[in-house]
Amino acid sequence: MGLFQNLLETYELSENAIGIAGSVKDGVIDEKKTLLPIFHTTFKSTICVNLAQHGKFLSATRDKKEITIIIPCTEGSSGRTTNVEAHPLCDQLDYLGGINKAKTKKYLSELKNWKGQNPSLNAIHTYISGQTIVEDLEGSAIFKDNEYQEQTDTPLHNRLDYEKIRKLGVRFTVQTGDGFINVWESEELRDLWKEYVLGSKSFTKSLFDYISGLDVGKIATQHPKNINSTTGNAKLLSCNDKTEFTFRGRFAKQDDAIIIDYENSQKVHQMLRWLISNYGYNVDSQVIVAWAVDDNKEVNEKLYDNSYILIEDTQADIQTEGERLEELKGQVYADYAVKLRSVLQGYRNANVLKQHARKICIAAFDSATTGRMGLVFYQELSEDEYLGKIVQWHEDTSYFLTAWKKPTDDTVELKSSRVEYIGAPSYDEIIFAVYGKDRGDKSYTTLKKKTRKQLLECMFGNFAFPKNLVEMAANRASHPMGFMDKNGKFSENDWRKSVNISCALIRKYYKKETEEIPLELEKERTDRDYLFGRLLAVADKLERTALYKAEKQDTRTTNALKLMSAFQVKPYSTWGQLYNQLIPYRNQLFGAGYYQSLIDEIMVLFKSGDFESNTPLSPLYLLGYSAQNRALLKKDKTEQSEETNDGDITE
Amino acid sequence: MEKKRNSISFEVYGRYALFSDPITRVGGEKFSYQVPTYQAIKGILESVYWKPTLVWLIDAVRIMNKIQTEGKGIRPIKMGGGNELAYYTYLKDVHYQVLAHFEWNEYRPELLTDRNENKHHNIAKRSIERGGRRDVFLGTRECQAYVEPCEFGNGDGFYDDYGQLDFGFMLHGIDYPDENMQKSFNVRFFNCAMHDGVIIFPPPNSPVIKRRTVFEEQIVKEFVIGQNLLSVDDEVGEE
Repeated sequence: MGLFQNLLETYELSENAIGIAGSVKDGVIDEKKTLLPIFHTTFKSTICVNLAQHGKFLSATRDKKEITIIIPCTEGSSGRTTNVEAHPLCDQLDYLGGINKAKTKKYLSELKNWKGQNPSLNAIHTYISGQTIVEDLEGSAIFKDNEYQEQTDTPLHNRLDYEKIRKLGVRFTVQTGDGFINVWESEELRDLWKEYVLGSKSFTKSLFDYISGLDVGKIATQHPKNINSTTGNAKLLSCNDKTEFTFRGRFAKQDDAIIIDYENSQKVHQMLRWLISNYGYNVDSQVIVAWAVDDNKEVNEKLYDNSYILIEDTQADIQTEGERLEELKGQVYADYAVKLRSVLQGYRNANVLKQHARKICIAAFDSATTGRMGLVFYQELSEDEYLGKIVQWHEDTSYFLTAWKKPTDDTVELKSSRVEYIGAPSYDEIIFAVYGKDRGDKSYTTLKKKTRKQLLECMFGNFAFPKNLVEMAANRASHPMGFMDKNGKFSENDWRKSVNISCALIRKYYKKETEEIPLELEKERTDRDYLFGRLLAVADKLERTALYKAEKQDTRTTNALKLMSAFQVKPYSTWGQLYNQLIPYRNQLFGAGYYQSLIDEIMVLFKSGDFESNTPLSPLYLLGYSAQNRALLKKDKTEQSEETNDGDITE
Repeated sequence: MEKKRNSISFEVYGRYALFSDPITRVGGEKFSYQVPTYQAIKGILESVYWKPTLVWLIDAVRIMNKIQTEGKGIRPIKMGGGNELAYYTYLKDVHYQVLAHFEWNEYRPELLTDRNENKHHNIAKRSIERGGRRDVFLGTRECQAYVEPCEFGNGDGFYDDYGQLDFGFMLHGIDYPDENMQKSFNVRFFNCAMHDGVIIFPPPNSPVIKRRTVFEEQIVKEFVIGQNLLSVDDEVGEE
């Protein structure tokens, strides 16, 4: 099935959770994270007007900070800019207060057509028709001092600065027999509005919807924008381009080219907006989202529990109130996005994912221009396939990596702890290794977007890992002197990270091309590149040890690292140079017998002619370097612990 | 798969394919369906060999390679001049086997004398052997494709034991004005499903197809044998 069919299906499965506010943080409801009912939108409001049953003004209050509420909207008002299109229930003072006659008229006519016999709607209609709202609000001292004009000699009513108050959002409560109804929260009014919109059908011929294939009630003439908040004006479906005719060809009119049911369009967009705002993985205008579609409701509860464990340290912004919303999460399985996000961010054990079984959709969107967003990647996978691919990626691309884990428990001191793990680098880490640190410019973001998509295609589309990325990463890592911190000093941490990520990519690349290269040092391996890499590591370590003994370890970088870039291009002649420079350190270490014999051991492994050849090294040499380096460090650690156990004092 | 006496089969492959979903196409950001539409295959076959005398009917298509997509940034030309930017998503490395046959176009009775089934069938087969008479492309012009004869069902395909895969409601094809009584332009949709890599297309007149008439009473190009059309009996092959 296509993306649109799946979104439609997902929305219908989530029927129970629609309209319930998600994400409560500090008592503030984040309505953006709420799955909106169809034909509704979010609206910012600061003023609440309380009305009596028959439309008499009672009181008004003003919030310190504007709150976001869900209100009904018309097809036109949801995407209004400067045109006169009123929301039918709550709107800005501009529309309600008679400041702009045309707008107020539009509002009243929208409300009049809809209100029927509903007492709340009638009360609001009666009240707004009376045109006393601005006076009433003034009487209740709603406006702030700075919302008045400065001259004081004019009559009271003219002193208000309309420019400053016209954008204020107004909502209503209406008194009933035993209390007040918050009209923006009323289920009854929401249903009433849905019925009203669906009731005003506009079709003449019997047509079918291009998404579902079912009969169309009302044709959507425009589709919602603001699906991804970072590209607020971009529409996924756009078909009102009357000047450039992006749909030109066989068709001249929008309706010739496409028929989409208004209700379905609403469902698709509300669902996608919810998925993106809750689970989107954003870079600039690009967003990646993954979710599952399933109608098997019986196992949801259990599955929800499992995912809860899984997301333990990302759940801060997705924790929810209300059981129905939790149920939604079980049903839609949007947690997969959290998991995917974690997976994309690398540091996560992919095996935990093996416990669910659904159909997974992965979609990526991007906007080339401000007005439109395009679907740039879409894949539907069975659960097995999806997990298989993730696990596969993790296995193929894994290497020794370091992460900084934030403490999950508040009682522990707030310092992050260093975690060493074997895993796949995240997309952003790969981008760091390939292109360096974010310099905060536009071109970097573009590269980042491009690379993320490439990696996504590689992860889920069975593509070979791009060779250019491996080579660029290896090339960067071969220039340690290029890694500077803010003070212009060599930043060894950044460089080591870059080497490790490059090694992960090299492993992935070789896995697809020829063979799997093990993580640990292969003592018998006779590849020229690998052996030269090992030599470099030994030279580095030898010098380091000598510097350490002389207590000069932090004074400068080793010759091996300084010569690394030359070593990669001309290994044979650079090795000769490096070997000569090692002489004083060998002397300091009284001949450095262990390292010398290790060098001899490696030398023996070269096939005839390999060592003498001066051709550049392939990225594989980094793996040789890294593996040897690790082996030497490991040896150090074991010796140290043995010495400590013996109670000996080390120098 | 039932074979007709005038059935032909061929394989078509290319590096990219773009069978745009009409829903995304209107905005200018094209996204490909996962599988070719009936109309795309018919278009390929019409590039290989076609005369107004006959109508090709696509019986089935077999998807040989795994379905993969690749997105590209494109710089299309604007109608009013200049360029703009868009993202297109293509299918990558596609390979299909097609089984099809032809029927006479009943709405062109003036070409009755051109209905030499055996000769048309043989010309079609020879055209496939030569890679088609005109340029062949997969869905969109920039996706160049290559046609070769093959036995439908031969060789290994990625989806051979895959079972059922549903693609949902999608475009089937277009009825052109010279292919129906009302001379109208209709679009057809159907629920597409693939079984073990094979999609069996319902014929355009099947009751499972949903049809929408977009334009009515269109003008149909006239063909007159001897004036702008050579009778198939007069066609002479190469020496």
